Amino acid sequence: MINDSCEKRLFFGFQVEAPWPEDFPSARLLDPSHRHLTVAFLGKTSYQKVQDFLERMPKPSFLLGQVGVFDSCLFLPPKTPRVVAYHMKALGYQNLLLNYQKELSHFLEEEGYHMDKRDFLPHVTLGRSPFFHEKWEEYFFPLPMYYSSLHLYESLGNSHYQSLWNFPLQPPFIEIEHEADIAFHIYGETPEDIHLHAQMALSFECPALLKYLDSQKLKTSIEEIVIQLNEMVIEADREEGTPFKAVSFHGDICKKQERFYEWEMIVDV
Amino acid sequence: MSNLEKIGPASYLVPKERGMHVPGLLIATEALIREMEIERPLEQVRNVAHLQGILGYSVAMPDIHWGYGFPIGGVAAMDAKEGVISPGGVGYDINCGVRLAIIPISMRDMTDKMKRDLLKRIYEIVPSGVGRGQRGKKPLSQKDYQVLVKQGARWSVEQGYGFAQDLEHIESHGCIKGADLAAVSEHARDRGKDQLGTIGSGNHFVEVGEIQKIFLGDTASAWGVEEGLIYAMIHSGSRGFGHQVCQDTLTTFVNKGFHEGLPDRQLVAAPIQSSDGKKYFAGMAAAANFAFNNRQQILHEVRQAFHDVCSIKMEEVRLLYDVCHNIAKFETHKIDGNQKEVCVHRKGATRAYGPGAEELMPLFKQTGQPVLVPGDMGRASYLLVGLGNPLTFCSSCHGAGRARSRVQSLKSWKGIDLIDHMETKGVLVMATSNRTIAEEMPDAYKDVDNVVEAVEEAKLASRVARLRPHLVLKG
Repeated sequence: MINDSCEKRLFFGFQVEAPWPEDFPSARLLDPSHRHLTVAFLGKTSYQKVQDFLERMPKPSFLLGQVGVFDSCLFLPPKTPRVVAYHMKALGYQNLLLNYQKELSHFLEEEGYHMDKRDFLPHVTLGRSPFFHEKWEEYFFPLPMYYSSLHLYESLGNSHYQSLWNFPLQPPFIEIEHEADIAFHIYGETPEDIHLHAQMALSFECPALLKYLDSQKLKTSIEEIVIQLNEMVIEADREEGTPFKAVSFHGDICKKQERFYEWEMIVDV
Repeated sequence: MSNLEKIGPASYLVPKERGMHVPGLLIATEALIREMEIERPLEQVRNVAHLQGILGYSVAMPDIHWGYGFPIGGVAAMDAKEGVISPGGVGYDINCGVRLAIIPISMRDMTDKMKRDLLKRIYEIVPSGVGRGQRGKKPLSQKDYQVLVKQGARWSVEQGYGFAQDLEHIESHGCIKGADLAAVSEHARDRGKDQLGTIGSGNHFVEVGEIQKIFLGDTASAWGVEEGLIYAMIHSGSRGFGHQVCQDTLTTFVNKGFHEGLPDRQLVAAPIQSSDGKKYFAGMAAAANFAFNNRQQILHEVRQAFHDVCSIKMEEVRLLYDVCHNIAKFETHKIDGNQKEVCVHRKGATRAYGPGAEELMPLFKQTGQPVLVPGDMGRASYLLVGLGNPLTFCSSCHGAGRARSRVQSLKSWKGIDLIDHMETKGVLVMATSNRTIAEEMPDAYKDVDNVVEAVEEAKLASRVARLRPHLVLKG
């Protein structure tokens, strides 16, 4: 039962999905379900006050969870690191997260909160000290990720968090049932998104594919998209192997609910 | 039951609808139909019936499931002159297939230690899993490719992998005629250059077990198959080489608009007699011959493991048969009372020639050909004998068929030590990936007993022996 009257340590953050490895180097690791991308930290504050502005606070302008890549390992704060984190580089629409973070921070300042003035560093905390820098740096390899629903989180201590409210976003892809192969529903606000998100779905299954991901020359026809996806699979298969035979020419891009484009992608394995 | 009309034992007609040139034919028992997800694969059976030049029926086997364009477990015969050839009717893994060898020792004579050592040795010398090619072996040169795509499995035998008598025990004697390396891209050659003798990932495997029960004593005896003896079964295909041949062709066909007018883009096809059709067949045959070589070299490695661990001479590990289950072949069949040359697409289906078939070596010409049906790694596999049923263009099933998606399997086995679990069931398993084991657990498949029962009822093939797995190497 949530007590509305008391003060809580609160912050806004996005839920993060990634194909997390099971064997990170040692640290006091956060449970994968608690890994998040913080956008605004409120500190200890009245939960009632926050509830009062939730409805009118700015919401993300985007309907879909955004995709990115964890491209480096961070130790924060830099001088006396207490946490190890992965840095997130956005793919696709580069400024969406930054713009939203600015907009939300501005709103919260007007509500009387003190916001951190340092440049926003999008990252996901994975563990707390003690940890060995070298082991984490040596272990690091790029991972695909996407962030989905925006949450108001309460920090419960010991790296445990509780979601008190959320604003859902459509995930960029969902794995669906397929008897013999693997299959996904891919979503996008544009056909180009479908192409990018299909590449991300494959990279979630096989992170080695990230090296061959092309977020610039995005195609719009299903034939072109499938051909590029297969080029990506072939390159990765030649260099390091993939669990995929090929992406099939199945289905078409269609518009669902007048909001998203959707494609059912089937991958022969 | 989805507008199906029973026309014989375990045989259902899928009535001809608008656009279909022929009706469909589903081989299954009522019980199997009730438990399978039938609508999407049946839609694919109907779609296949739209292809130009299809004759007889668009056939579905009892292990049918939803596939790429064609259902997996689909058979379609096209008029060799007027019809089309479709890469979707063969699949990405061209000449994926199975071979079965008999080892002249009893499973009872194997100690637990020997079994563990044997599996470990197989794991050491048969490369398996994602990206695993051959290490320490010379990659295939262009000259090697030139010869092996023309000669088929004979090339490996000449390189020292196996024995000349093996060739008579392989479908089409281990060589599909008409292969041409010029029809194969550099990409394909590059992908395949170090992959001969490797099983790959997914549902491919090497399995060692015991012949558990004999059904047809005379046939079993003629084939040297005895209750209690050890068998080795190998399931693999043409690896990256074949995948690339398929992909290159699909890209060309789609770019040329060959899919227009078809109910599904994945059925894209070219007239058999056109230059595009001929080029695909030449590339497909090259990939099929690559796959025969792959299984020939895997068998060599398995023979080596038996030699190292059980002190069995390599030549005593006797190849019984090797079948293709993803292939298009020119064959002659009796259709409407006339002998006709057709291009039979078998996608997840096995040729099941009965006694007297021209191509077979004398022993099998007398008995009918062996038909190999891997089940799952926990329950059983089957050795059948073909009956040469003309309704299915002498075809039978190729396996148990999946009952559960990979996602469902992963979820249901999450957090369980699968290797321990399988060991409690009497099966030792090794794999490069735990995920593969979870996806391939026995309950992911239909019960193969029920599938072969349908095949037998429909008179496509008869049971010769039931095989029980003991040791399994997965990709």
